[in-house]
Amino acid sequence: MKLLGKVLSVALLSVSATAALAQQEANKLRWASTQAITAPDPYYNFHREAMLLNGQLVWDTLVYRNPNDGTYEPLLATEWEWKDDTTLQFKLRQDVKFHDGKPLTSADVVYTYNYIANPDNKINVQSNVNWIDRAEAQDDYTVTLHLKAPFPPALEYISTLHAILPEGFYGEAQAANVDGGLIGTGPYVFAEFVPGSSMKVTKFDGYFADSPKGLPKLDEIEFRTIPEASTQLAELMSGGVDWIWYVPSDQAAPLANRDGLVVDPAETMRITFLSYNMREMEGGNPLTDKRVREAIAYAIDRETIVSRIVGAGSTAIDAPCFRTQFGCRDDLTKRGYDPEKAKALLAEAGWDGSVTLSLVGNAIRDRAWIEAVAGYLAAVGINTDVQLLQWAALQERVAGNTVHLSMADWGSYGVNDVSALLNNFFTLTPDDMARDQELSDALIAATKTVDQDARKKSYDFAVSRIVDELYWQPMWTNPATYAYDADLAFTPFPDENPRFFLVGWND
Amino acid sequence: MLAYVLKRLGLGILVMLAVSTIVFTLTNVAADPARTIAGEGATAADVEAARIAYGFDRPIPVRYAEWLANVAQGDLGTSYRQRRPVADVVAERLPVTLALGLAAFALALALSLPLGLLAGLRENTWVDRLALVFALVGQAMPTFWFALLGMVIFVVKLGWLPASGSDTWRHFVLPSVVLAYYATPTLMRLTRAGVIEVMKSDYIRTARAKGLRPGKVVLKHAMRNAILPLVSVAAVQLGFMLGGSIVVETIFAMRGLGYLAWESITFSDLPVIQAVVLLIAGIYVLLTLGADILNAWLDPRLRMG
Repeated sequence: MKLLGKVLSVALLSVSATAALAQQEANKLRWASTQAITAPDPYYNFHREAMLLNGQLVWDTLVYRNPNDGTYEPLLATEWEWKDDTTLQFKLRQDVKFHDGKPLTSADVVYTYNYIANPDNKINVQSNVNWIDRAEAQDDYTVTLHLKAPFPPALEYISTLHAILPEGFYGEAQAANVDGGLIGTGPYVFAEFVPGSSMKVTKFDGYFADSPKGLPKLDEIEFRTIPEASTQLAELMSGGVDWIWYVPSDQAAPLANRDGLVVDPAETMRITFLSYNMREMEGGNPLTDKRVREAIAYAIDRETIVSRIVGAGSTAIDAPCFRTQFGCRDDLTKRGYDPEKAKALLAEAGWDGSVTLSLVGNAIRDRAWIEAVAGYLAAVGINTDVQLLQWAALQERVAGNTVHLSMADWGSYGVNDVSALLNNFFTLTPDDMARDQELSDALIAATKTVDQDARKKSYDFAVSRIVDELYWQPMWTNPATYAYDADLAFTPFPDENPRFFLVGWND
Repeated sequence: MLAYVLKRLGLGILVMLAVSTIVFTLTNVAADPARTIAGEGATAADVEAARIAYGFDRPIPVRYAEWLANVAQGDLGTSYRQRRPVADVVAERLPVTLALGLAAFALALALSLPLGLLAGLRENTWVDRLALVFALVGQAMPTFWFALLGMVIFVVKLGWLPASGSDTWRHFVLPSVVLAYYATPTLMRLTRAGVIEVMKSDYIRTARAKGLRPGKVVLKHAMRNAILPLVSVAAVQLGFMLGGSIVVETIFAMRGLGYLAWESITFSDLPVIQAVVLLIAGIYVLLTLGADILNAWLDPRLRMG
């Protein structure tokens, strides 16, 4: 089905398109994505699409993270201060109004934080909030946030994921009221929501002028779920939508040749890595021999896979993290493509090819990526049994110790701190295939202090350890390929967050 | 006749019960729902939190009994994903699937009956061959391919129809044609075979010998018997269409039951999966029952036996 789909996509691309309708005149942006928005609020969603639309168009965060340099700027809060390692105090702007005209006060901020921090309210991603103890108001415009323990990346989460809702937002029913209740302070006003299908927001005329997000440039933004990539292309080419993303790399090139469309492959913070299982397995585990792990690292030509398969926007990496993340470093052992060295290491380790290694990957990624890896391994005499699994099933295999190699990726939720990445995989959780106590201790220690030097030191150790001991083979950064109307002024950022509040039509 | 209907209805309820047991068990065993619900970016702690929050730490039979008791009282539960009553979620998807299914079914019948009749009456002529080729192509061409082909021509090249959505009648044209073409070959071949067989029977010869007009012979005498086997198959086809075509609804981004089923399965939204399966099983049971009754009416031998 996939092959036929690709052939047809090329056919789609080769026919002449009708001119795209001038959405520019209507000053409206229509974008589509594969995932559906299931709930119209920022906390009960499962997909980036929903979180982005709701979290940053309709609502604002206390602090704004500048996407260009990662610095924090005032948004709903004019200033903030760490009172101690677990107490953060915010002063709020006094001129912010919600879409219904009600002014923003401490009560709204306190309500939001106390609601999301309460596990009984079952917000979806608990690790985004489970470090918060409670919030309390000092006065109408001063709020104190108490953390359960020191949590250094707190501002990363506060500035990107914690949308401030009006007091009583979820009501008794613990569900957002779609009919007139979806009120925020953001640059766009919630207008319409069809579960699983579409959502519309319109310009908020009362948005505060000096917001770092800028005044809204569009009159309306409409989102639609279109699960099939070929249908998205057809919509883009027939003028049905103005913007799509994650265009498959094989379709990106021919699409780029079309007039009136821009194809923009951009690097993201999401990294792909190969994890080695370090645990004893039933029937033995050859990967406990470091030479075998090293051989695997030398056997794979990541540069070629990146240039030929993963495509533009991707870079081969040697570090187990994204370069801009706090705690990431690049001065590490590099293991470039050297099949002869791989073979020598395997011979030294007494490898006779009698064992077939299980290699699992995430079914939503391109099959060609993992097959290329399997191909390189086969070339040095390592046979693999490749299986593409749904993420949940993949995690179960990893936790159940029934897999040798796992090729996965992680986007860190766009959080510019390695704690959002490495702490999920190396702190002796069921997903931890390395089970290294010392490494786990270092990673946990780095999240227990706000002393940046001490944190840096812990991460320096952790990152080197992962590379030196070969717990992971870092592979490449994942690209996100955007395709959109050439008249749209759009800038991609590595955190896979298309900031539509910055988007407008060119004059 | 009433006893016959009641017996079939009782059997139907048993079938639905069996289907729901199997589906409940399989969806819980196939993948850990807590992991799926916690999402792709979930840590082990997130997964455990989801497991407890949604009660997946309790045994499957206990949860099944609880679900069944609720359904018996008319409560289908709350969607994990949309946090709304399942009945609402399913109800808002039903109109799209019904409209698509009925339009496609009507189109399939409108194509297959005359074509089958014509092919059967003109057996082994060029008309018959052409109809058979038409059927063969329909059977051989994958639905998604035909859908994308239609999109290239009518959306991208000609710009006559929209590519996706289910807002206006124009959104239903392409999907209905695609879905109808999928069902047409079977219906057409059955009609053709029925017509060929019936036209050779004695009573048709008698009818002709009486000097009846050919049109009357075909429509009044032949068709009634020729479409007997068609009724049961058409019921199944209609059931398939009303159950929602996952492929067609997904390609055209139509908010119907098939697409809902697909979304719910990928997300382990167990209450919705259960409800959709129960509904589809119910549709099949009713349609099969309807087909049986219709057949019994068309052919008295069935209701006597």
